[in-house]
Formats: sequence, structure tokens, C-alpha cells
Amino acid sequence: MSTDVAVRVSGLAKSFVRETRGRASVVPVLGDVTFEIARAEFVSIVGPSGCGKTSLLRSVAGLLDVDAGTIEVDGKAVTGPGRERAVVFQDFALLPWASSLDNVAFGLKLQGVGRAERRRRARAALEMVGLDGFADALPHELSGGMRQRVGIARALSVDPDVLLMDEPFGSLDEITRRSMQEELLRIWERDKKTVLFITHSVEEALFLSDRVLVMGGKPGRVVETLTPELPRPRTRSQESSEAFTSMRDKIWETLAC
Amino acid sequence: MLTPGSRRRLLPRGPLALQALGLVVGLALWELIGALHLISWFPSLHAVLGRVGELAAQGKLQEPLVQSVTNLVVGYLVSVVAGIVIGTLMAVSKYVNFALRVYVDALMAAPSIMLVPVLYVLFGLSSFTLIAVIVLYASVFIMVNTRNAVAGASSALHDMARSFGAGPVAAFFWVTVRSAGPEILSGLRLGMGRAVKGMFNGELFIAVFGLAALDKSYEGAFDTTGILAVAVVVIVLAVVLSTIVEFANRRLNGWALSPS
Repeated sequence: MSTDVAVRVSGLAKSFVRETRGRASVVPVLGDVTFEIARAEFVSIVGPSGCGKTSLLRSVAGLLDVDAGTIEVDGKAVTGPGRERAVVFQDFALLPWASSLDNVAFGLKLQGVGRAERRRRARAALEMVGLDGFADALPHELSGGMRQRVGIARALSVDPDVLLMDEPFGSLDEITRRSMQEELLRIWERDKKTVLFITHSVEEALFLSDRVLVMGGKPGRVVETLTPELPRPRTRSQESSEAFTSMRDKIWETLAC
Repeated sequence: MLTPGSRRRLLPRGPLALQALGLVVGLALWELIGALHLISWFPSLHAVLGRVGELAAQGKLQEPLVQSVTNLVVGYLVSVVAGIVIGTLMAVSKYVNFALRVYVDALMAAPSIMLVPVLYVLFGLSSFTLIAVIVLYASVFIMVNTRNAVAGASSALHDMARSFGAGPVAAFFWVTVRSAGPEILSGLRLGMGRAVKGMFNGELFIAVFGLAALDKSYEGAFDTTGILAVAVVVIVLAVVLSTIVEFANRRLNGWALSPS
């Protein structure tokens, strides 16, 4: 495997057993999903609800066993969660009883990092996402955008090679969502983590990504791969450019098929 | 949203003031009805409290109180351990849940006092029987709350812990059980009220032990002041013990009591 491939997914398939009125039936969710993500590449997966995006991300995270195919991260087969990957969850998944600082430090704690070191790293991560004044706040005391910043800080604090983001801005209002997209790009430009980003939003995928994988079909698979020819750093003015709008239209056409 | 440095209050002042006001009005009405002899047999509050003082001064209250509280504490602790362990097993294993659900549902629906004679037949006139009655009354509520709390705990938090490297067991204890805490504690509070009820009903059944034996002696003499004096002691005991559990709940689960 070439060293600049961070994530390789080959022939991935996954089905779920659904029980309705006492009868079990097999529902295929993913069928023969294959793609690669280069190191430091920002790849988004866009697709309609139920096409298997989240199942795909959970598989790469090692949270879901697959029926067929392989997943490799940094050349090693994924058989469960691993330190080289960190997940940012759609619903934030913050511990409601813990402060922002303790939430960020939680991942480090699970990885056996000592108290002083994990608090130092957690403070640095909170500072990176602009929440250094909110270390003691509980999740319910923060706005949705701030909660997701804590989620991002938690993922970054463990310094993963690959950041897996499952519709992280899906539950935010449009204004907060756009501001968080810009914030994410600012953070990503700093140390260029490899990112797999799941989203419903075509515009979000194009604004953030080096490459956009369009998923569709039942069972879900990658039906189109597009590379936005937009220079970095990205700016909002690019959203009205010809390159952006033509690619957006192409994705919509693909999704409509 | 919180600004940096602002503090949280466990319970707002308004509700506390209203609770105190409700209590004062209720006690004032009691005193008024008793003092003005609006109901002929009904003693005033100060007469009842005076009787409590007399009983304490004569040493008649202490021994039954110690007997009752000892049984209550032991029975409640057994209920807590049994309720939490069995409730958790029911939440994590559908087989355990299927096997025990019929008993739990039956105990929730049927009056527990029906089974008290059976316990006396099984264990005789002993403290052991009274403890068993308390467990019968309290454990099922703790069990059901624990089962529902653990089964309904956030799977997203469990996934989050797993994604950062926690094993299934560590994720269960560090995240699932912790997030089920408020509902489990609410079961413990319900269980405490039920335990006091079980203690008194169990004692009433044989009228040999504890506060209920004292109560029975006043019942025989139609001494309403004495009956109410014992009732006041039991109610205060129940309220104090429930408040202790509630205090623990607020200390441990204050996060769940705040609006999100």
C-alpha cells in the first residue's frame, strides 16, 4: 500500500436484520463500497437519508462489524476502535455531568493519559476551538455550536491521524452551521488531519472538501466522485463561482438519478 | 447558556419557599381545627407534639424507634443492592428480562401487603420477616427504575466511549450506568418511601415490634393523640430519609435537574 493512503475501504458490505411483527428480514445497507482517502485529504460523503453514510463511518470507526470487504487505516486492518481514529458525533455525545474540560479530557483518560497531561492537552484543545473561557461549563449550559466545538476539541485532543465526522453540524441552525464550517477549515488548515466527513448538505461538502463522494442506491455505494477545483483557503465568495455551482448541480443531478 | 464563571444553584429559592408556605398553612389548619375542637376527637398539633415529647422523655419512643429504623436500614440496603443488580441484569439481558418480568409486573400491580402473611408463615415472628417485608415493598420499584434507566441510557455515549478505546465493560460502567444515575436515584427515593410503608405495615401485622406496636397500644385505648404522635414520628422519619436520598441525588445528578 502506498504510504500516502490513510484510509482504504474495499468491497465493503453490511446488512442489518430487521424484525417486524415477529418476522426477521435482512436489509442490505452497504454494498461493495470502495474508496481511498489520501493522507491530509478532506473527503466528504454526501447522500440521501438511509443510503448508509453513517453505517459506513461507524464501520471505519470500528464501531460496526462488516459482513464483507476490508477497511485499512494507515495500512492496518480495522477490527475495532483505534487510537489513530477519533469520531465527532452528530448529537455531540457529550457527558452531561462533566464540564467542557472533563469532556475533552475524557478521550485522553480512556487512553491512559495522566491527569495533569490530559488537562493540559484538553485546555489547549478548548483554546484551539475558541472555548478557553468555558472550561467549567456543563454541556446544557452551552449552545449547540459550542457543544460541537467541545466534541471537536475532544476528538482533536487525542491527536488522531484520521478524523471521522458524522454530520457534525447537522443539528445546528444555518448561521451557526456556516460559522462552524469556517471554524473547522481554520482548524484543519493548521495541522491537516485526514478527514472523513459525512453530510446531507451538498454545499457543505463542496465548501469543505478536497473530494466529494456521492452515495446512492440500495444498498448504498459510491456512485460518483468529484473533486472541487476550488483554491484553498476557501472563502464564501467561492460559493457563487462557476466551478462551485456547476459541481453542485452535477451532484444534485447524480442524487436525482 | 452560561457565561464564564457563573455558578449553578441546586434548587431555586421559589419552590423551597412555596413548599415551606404549604407546610406552614397545613400545620396551622391542623392546630386551628384541634384547638377550636371543630372535630371532637381530633387533637391539636401542640397536643400531639407534646405527646411526642412526653414519649421521648419517658423513654417509650427510643426502643421501638431503634428497632424500626434498624430493620428499615437493613431492609432498604438489601433492596438497593438487589434492585440495582437485578434491574441492571434485566436491562442488559433480554433473557433475564423475559424470565423475571412476570414477577416484577405482578409485584408492581398487586398490593404487597397480600404477601406479608406468607412471609410470616415462612420466617416466623422475627426481625428477619420484617426485613423481608421491607424488601418486598421497596426492591421492585428500585428494580424497575434501574431496568428502565439502564435500558434507556444513551447508546451514543456508549459509542463515544468505545470510539475512544473503552472496552464494552468500561463503557458500560463509566458511561451507561452514570447516565442512568438520575433515574436510578429516583427509584431509590421511591424505594425509600415504600420501605417505610413496608416497615410499618409489617410491624402492624404482628403488633409486637417497633413503632407499629406502640401505635397498636394507643389504638386499643382510642388514644388519638398517641396514634397521631406515632404517625408524626413515622412521617418525619420517612421525610428525613427521603430527603437524605434526594440530597444525594442532587449532589450526584445535579446536571440532570437543570433545564437543557
